[in-house]
Amino acid sequence: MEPAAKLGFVASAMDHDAAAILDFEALVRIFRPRVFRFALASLRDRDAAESVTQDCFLRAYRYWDRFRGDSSIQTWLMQIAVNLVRDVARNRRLQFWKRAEASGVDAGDASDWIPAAGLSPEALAAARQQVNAIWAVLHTLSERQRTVFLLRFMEDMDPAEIQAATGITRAAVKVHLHRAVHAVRQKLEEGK
Amino acid sequence: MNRHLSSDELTAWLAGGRAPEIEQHLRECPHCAARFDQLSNALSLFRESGRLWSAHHDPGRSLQLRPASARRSIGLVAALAASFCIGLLLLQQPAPRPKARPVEEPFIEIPYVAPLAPYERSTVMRTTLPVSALIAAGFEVRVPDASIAVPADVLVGQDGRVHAIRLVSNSSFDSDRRLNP
Repeated sequence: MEPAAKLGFVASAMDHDAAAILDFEALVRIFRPRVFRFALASLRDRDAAESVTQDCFLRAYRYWDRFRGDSSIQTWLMQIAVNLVRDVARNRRLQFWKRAEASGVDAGDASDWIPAAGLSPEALAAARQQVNAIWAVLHTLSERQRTVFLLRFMEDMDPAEIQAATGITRAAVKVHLHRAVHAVRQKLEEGK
Repeated sequence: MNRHLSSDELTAWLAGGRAPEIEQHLRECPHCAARFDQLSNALSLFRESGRLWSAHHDPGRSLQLRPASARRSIGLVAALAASFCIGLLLLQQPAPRPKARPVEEPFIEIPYVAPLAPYERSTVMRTTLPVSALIAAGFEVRVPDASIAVPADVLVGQDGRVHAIRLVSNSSFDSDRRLNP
């Protein structure tokens, strides 16, 4: 079945996001930022994140007829992205080359992007410190803890969506999230 | 609860474990509420800055964003340059005749999607939507055949979600552009 036709069907059935999309190109335009963001935050490498993003949509296109509508399109795409990120992270060769990778990005730069409107210089400095602390903790988490944390707090996905995207049980999602938040909270409270 | 929340209870609450007694305690205890707000604000800042940071690095985006500090100075220079150019044009040209502008309908927000933040970038995309999907989203669209698709602009936020819809005027159908509350 062609993606466009299937999207129209899904749209009328269940997903308001899908309602806005009638062709695959539009789907890429709408969901690409989210997939890229998750990949970049997980891998901290622009080229690897771009590669994961392209692979994600390539797979989505190839396996479009397997999308049954059990979850939203967004969750389905994130499920593909989570698997691809996991593959990349587990690829030892890439890990080796990653050390010398020129496209690596410093997650500490993210604090430069805090919306500064209405913040005093002191408050902005404190906010930057907090954001840097969270990124520093993310670096120390296990892959699953980091994935669950990013899906929850960067992508605003609820536990059921995280369960669908990661393929781990609801209880495991809860445990990973609890441990990740515990580490972040400890770091933030240490910094006070 | 006659004591402050433990670290574990606070962690559980932040992680989404919604126990009614903790919710009540947070309503009644300013100390614990302040602790929770501080952590919650830090997570919000992490999310907001992370989204802008990612958009900056995304090679698929046509517009390269810049950090807030750089945006301010570039914006000031651009505004000054634009003012200068407009001033020159006004001095050199007679006042233009008013043009007839096409009538555009306002965007209608989708009620169950979080509104765009003031600083959030959005994209308007023209597409065609199935009438059945519009009806499911709360639009009242009167057409003879609900299986057709109609042209519309969709407002897409940085998170990729559709925040609002604007039907494009079309003489072949009659629509009441209204969302049910």
